[in-house]
Amino acid sequence: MDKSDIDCIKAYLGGDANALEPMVEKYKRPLYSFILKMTEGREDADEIFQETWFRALKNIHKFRHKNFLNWLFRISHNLIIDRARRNKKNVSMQSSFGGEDGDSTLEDQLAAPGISPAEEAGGTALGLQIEEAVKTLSPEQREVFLLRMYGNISFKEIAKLQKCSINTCLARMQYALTKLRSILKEEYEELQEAMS
Amino acid sequence: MKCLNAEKLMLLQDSGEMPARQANALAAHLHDCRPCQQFQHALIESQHAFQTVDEPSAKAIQNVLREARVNAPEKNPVHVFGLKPTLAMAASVVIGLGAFLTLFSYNRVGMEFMVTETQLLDSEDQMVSVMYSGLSEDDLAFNFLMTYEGNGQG
Repeated sequence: MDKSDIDCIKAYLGGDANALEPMVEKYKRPLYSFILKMTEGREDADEIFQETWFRALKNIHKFRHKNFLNWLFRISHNLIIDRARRNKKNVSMQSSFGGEDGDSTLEDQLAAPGISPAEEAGGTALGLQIEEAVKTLSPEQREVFLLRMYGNISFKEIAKLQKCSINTCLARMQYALTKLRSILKEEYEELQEAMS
Repeated sequence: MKCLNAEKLMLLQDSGEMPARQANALAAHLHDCRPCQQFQHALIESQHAFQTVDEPSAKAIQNVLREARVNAPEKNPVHVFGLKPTLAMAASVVIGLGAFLTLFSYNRVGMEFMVTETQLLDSEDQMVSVMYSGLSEDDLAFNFLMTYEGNGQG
């Protein structure tokens, strides 16, 4: 674990009420970016972001992982699954849509209702195209892809989180990359030009 | 090496999980394989495209920080009990030393027979001695004068 994280946690457990502030600041973007793309709109994402931290704070004295961000992602993964289960009461919405894994649902394929037109107008064209492209992935593929991109979480950790083999995680990532590249071909070329 | 395996190795290399012994084989495959080079580009491009730009609302951050402050454990008290063995040892040394001095001090017998000058006087004089102890000579003269005048008047 990052040494400064250990220091912050020790200081917090020692009674320094503001000691976790740098960690909240440091991890807010990767954690929120992941949650936002796994949920439906900013309102949901804000709620899950808060709840993730609330749970982490409640159990921080039990924290034994090597990586704090991994732990936050693990908590948020469980919260996202819980919320999805609660929301999917309508059976017809849960019927399989025939994704790559056969577990993609119709609900997964619909546009996120939480994003308002104002938010859409505020986002960049590339950002919106990326969002749309990510939504075409199955939830499992999307999760592997986003955990790698935003959290730099190892495949070993992702396999534990998704309760599958590393090989399955690698296959999901391969599929996600290939699919996103085919959808975002033009955008990637623009990026490549900008980088060169 | 098959392309499918090369792609998996590229992913593992990116996450820092590729076994070192596979590095040369992957490099050799990548050198000659155009589709795998494209896959590698896709990986690099994705990392640029998917940067973390989204932030939670200020309210969400404030709520988290407030919760952190509310749930912060109390500050650790000073660990007096950490000094327990030292304190116990110091106390036993003091007690032992006290007992030793009490039992083996040779002034002990003489001290029992020590008496003050006051104790040698008879009871009436003891009272006078106590009454006048601590008074200066002027005070004593004034007291004597008052006593004398009082007796004269009576």
